[in-house]
Amino acid sequence: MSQEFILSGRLARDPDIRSTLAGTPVANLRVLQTRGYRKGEDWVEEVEGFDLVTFNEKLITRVIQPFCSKGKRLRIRGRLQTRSWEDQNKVTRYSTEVVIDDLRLLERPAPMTRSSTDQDAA
Amino acid sequence: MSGDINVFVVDGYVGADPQISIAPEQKATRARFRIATTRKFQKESGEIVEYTEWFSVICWGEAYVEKLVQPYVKKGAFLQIMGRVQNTRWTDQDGIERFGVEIVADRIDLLDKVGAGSSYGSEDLPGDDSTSGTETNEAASSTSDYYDEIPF
Repeated sequence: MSQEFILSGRLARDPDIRSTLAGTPVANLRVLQTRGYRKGEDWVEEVEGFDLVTFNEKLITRVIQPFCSKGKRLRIRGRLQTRSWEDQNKVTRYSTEVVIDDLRLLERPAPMTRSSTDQDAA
Repeated sequence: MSGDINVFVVDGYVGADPQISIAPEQKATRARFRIATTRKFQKESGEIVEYTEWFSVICWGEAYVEKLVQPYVKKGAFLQIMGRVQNTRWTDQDGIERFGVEIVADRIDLLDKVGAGSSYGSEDLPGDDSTSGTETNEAASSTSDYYDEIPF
């Protein structure tokens, strides 16, 4: 059994990159996307927001940190995961986020430069 | 026009018989049910870990609901669903505002043999409903290698 979620959208803000207690990096991103549909005579646009998370160190250091800033357009492949926690009133709360398997920038690729290949090799 | 992609695909077991509301207006007929999908993956220690995720599914339209959901989508049925993910909010019975996501199904495929008998193996159903998220959560998130997963 499996699930797969593919979404595109723009970053609502710069990614939040931190370290876990174990010392591995974690990145949290928020993506906003629009969906347009006909409602009677009108064309309506709705915005959906999704919270994304990844613990993938390579993805964080090589893609997210250097290239993903507020407003960038992305396409993400991942899966939905629901977490639960207790709030200050002892009420169990749930939140669903997208665990990223793959992330691509939706922009015209820049021509390959010397420095970027050096960076990859390092 | 700058639309965005939002495609979700899942296969899994139906948790309970759908709640169906038939509206006089054809398009407003709808069905709601939950589906559970279980991932299995092997830890470095060799231990196999299972992790179950539940999704709320909503499906619109008289044709789909009456011809497909009503006759075939029962507790324990094994399905594949394709649709989009949308955020929802509602107020629960204690007056607490809740947030979540639901899957708006565009298509539902039955992965069981149709007519194979009335009872699905409900022993196949993962035990819990919404609270199963926590304990294996960390393990599930930190494994980033796709192919550590057992593919069924």
